Amino acid sequence: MPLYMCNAVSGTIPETAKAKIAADITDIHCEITGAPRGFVHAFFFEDAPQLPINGKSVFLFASLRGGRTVEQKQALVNRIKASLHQRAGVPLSEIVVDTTDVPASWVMEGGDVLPEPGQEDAWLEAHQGAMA
Amino acid sequence: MIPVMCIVQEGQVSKPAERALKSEIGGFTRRAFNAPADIDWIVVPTGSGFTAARPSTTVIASLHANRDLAENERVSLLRQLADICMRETGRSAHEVVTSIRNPG
Repeated sequence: MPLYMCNAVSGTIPETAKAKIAADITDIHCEITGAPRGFVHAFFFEDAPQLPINGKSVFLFASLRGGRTVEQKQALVNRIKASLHQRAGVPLSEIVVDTTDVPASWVMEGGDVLPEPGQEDAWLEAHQGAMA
Repeated sequence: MIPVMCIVQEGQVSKPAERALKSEIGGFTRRAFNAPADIDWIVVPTGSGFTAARPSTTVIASLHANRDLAENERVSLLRQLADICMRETGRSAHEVVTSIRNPG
């Protein structure tokens, strides 16, 4: 967590762009929130029924640990949309990004419940060397 | 029914392992929530999954409980679900993410 799930109309996002967008998402998320890179998952799909695109070209749904501010989430949305626009050439008007908050205590990774935002140090120390 | 979303990377989980994992998760939801699992099995295509901006080997199992859970019970259930995923997929603890959400 976070989990970024990006669904696009088939062919909208070139295969070669996915790694670059995933790197952007990881950089953006860590810059804005201070989260460890190993927590950031970015998965890409095409025409996946679970993530309705609703007539647009790209729908990106982000599950975030609860506790992020409105400003942080707006910055995440804006910068990730810009990455999709720059890397894949998708018009900004064709990109929808939505977020949902999930309490850290509802998620387990590495065999332990995730830390609250800003309290990652002890968690990381306990998991040193094993993170992705 | 307990809605369960399982996300795996393409080529990571064999068909027998998929069947075993689904069966074990079904048993888990029956024990924990007295309800069968409705599993949405989602495969991330090769070259399309990234963790820490590198090719991902992460397995995610996320479900919605049918009742509110106390913290201790949730942790126990998260651990049981993670153990099932690790056992049936052969992945390490750091490659398995589990989430159990309250209803609503």
